[in-house]
Amino acid sequence: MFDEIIGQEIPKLLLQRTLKQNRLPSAFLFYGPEGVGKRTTALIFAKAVNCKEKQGDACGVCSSCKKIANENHPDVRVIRPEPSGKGELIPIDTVKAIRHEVSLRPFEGRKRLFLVIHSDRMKLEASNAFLKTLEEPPLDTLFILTSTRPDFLLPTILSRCQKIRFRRLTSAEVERALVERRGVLPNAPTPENTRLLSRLSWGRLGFALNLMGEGFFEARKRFADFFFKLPSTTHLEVLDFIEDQESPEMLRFLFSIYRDLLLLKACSEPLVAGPPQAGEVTTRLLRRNAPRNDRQQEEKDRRGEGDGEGLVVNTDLLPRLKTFVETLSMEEILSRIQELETGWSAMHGSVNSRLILSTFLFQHLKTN
Amino acid sequence: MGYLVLARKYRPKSFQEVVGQEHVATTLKNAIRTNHLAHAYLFSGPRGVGKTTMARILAKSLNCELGPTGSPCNQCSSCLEIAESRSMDVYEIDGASNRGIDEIRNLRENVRYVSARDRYKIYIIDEVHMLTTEAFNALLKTLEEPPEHVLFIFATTEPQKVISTILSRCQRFDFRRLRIQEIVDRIRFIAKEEGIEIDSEADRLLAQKADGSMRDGESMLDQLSSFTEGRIRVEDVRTVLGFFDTNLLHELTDRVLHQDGSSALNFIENLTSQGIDDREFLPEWIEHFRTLLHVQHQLQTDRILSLTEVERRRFEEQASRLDTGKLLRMLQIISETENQMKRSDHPRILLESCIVRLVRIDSTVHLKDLLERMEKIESIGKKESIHSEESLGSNESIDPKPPENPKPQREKDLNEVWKSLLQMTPKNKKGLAVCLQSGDPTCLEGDVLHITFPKDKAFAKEQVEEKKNKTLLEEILKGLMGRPVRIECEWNERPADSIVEKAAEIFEAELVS
Repeated sequence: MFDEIIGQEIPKLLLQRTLKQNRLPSAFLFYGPEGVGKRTTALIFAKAVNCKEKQGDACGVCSSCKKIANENHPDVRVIRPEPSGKGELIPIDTVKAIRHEVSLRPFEGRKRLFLVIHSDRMKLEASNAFLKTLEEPPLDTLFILTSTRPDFLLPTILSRCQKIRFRRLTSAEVERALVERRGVLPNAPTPENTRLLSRLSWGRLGFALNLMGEGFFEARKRFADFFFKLPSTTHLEVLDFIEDQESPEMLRFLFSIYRDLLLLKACSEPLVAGPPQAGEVTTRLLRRNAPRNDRQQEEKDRRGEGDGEGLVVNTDLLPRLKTFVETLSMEEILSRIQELETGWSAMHGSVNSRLILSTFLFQHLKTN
Repeated sequence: MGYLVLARKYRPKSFQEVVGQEHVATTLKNAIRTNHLAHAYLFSGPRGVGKTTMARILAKSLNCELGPTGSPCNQCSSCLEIAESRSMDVYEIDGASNRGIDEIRNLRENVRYVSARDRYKIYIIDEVHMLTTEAFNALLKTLEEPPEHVLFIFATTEPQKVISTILSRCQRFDFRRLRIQEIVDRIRFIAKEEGIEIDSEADRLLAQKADGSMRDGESMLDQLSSFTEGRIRVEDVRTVLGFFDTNLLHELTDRVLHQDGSSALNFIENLTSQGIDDREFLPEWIEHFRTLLHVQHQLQTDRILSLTEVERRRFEEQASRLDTGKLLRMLQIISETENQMKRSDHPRILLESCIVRLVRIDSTVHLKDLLERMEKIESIGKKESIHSEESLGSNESIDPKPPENPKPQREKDLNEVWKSLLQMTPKNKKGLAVCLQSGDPTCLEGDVLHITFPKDKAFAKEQVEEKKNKTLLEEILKGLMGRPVRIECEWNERPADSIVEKAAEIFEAELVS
């Protein structure tokens, strides 16, 4: 089972060794970006702890493993944020319920486990009520908290957990995982598209899997075609076009486009951006003569990185991106990225995403 | 079968064992010895420094069968019960879960009854800052005059959230953050007891990461010892605790300082393809810049002193390439981005924008510099306003009636006259000089010196026009010019246009309205 986890060598090793030595702490915190395997690992670990067949790993077929997989094991509770008036939260009542359950002995497993998904969504009262339980639970209890934003957890919570960092996957790892799963899906993407998706996912396998085979590529292509034609379109056409678009997805796409534009622009700009300041000229001169930098430059040339093309994510759009970047200044790119960012966060605050998308796209029209 | 984590296993059992809080331990011990106990204590301080531990030790000391004593026996039934938190007379209450008024009322009811067996009835309320205001208020009377046998101990990480009427009824102890050395010593002690080998650099690194908290340090030791299955090396600490390779930070900073955007961005790409998370990167980088700042100002801080000679020289070299202003600006850009990143779903693009902005920092202008430039321009504008007004006048060739006097006094003379006039204004008439300064000499036509005042300087104009002052000034002028000159004050109708024009010229801007 542990070998099913993609990447994450250190967490895997750490957890397996902890199991082997039977040195389970009272609480783990799994933190790292979204969709890299925190919850999957937590579930596998829960299975391994209570597995009836294997020691130090999960068999995946015994009754205990199956119950955990179906989330109906009496000793393994998965706690998720619940929708409330103020977004998805873990309410204090849930935490109080945990406190009560902790005082009971496990029904059938060896350990009683609590998986708290998105643990940073606990409100202040709930977090504080959690502290005492988290610090000194009965020894047959284990908490696994997961979080994408550990900064939002109380320092007092953090200090009570063994923290395990989950890293971003590399695009190669995502690609491999996607290829493995491709056979199972009805309309599998082509190899090129798989590669593209793995780059677009920024190492978040969960994200890539969600998009796979959902008509994502067609939608993306349609949007790209529209986007590069923008200067010659009208407001009405824009509004017409976005009417039947998944606007959050399209905003996400715009992020990747502007990110590519930023990199292309930055790498094509001459080295010296501003007027040299006193003292700096000498360092620059020194630098020119430094052999180390020559080597760097050579290396760069060899890898074809000089112009930033190697950094582009939307590789299939490269020619059009290169033409498009000519029409923009760096300031424009930077400020539009900020606008996208503001728009995106406003979307969380329930501003209409279509509105954000249209306002942003309007800027590209020539008629402005 | 359960494994007891080190932090719990090695929870101190006596005052002597608690690390770094001697000021609290000594005071409490003396209070016990001289029987000068308060009836309510408030322990405050950061996480994992020993508040709850101290509270339990105090409870033990008071209720120990051999006590009250400064060193509880840890063997009698009372001590053991407290350690296992099942004592009848020591109530450890979670303030965060029992925060309402009903719970406190309940507590108030129970306070009245005498203790079951032991000397004192002790209430330890942890996370007390989470009590509601009503609950706090309900507690006030009890807290002020509790029965003889009752003692309250509050523990909190956020004393500022405890209402002042509660604070004033408690004896307050502030627990401090632990020093790196204190954590190192304790870690070494535990490692020795547990038979864990740990390299000397490794325990220091671990203590650094613990950030002043003993519990954090102990739980990291736990984690590391199960990871390494033997000896803990520096590399293990770096891998498990997610330490950043400081070389990477140096390298990236170098690239940014060389304003080589392409290479800096490629560097980031390489880092992240190795699995380094975008969000984790900036906090480390901020620390790097903070160190640079410290090095630049030659501060002898903990951070600097813990650097090795090689590291310090590297920082010094980097710091020498930056002036403080630029350093601060870079730091600001990075921390702004970091802040934004916490909430963002697209950390990568923010990181890359940040890099680009840093690389281009010389081509952008800081607000402060802009203001300085503005000021400079303003002062130039003031000097040259005469020039422009004059030239404006002479350019009016369409004017059918050219000025009768061909303006014998060229602007240079006028300027000099004006300067001398300002200088010669008597020292005891400072106010007058200031008033005069807010005006502008426009021209000297024959025997009349025209001074214009902006509309908002009515007072200055009045002062200059005042008969006594005017005569005085005219006399000075007479001395300067060798002939009687009259002063004529006027309103300035064209407010500082020349400055605006000048500014527009410098900024290559257009005048909009």
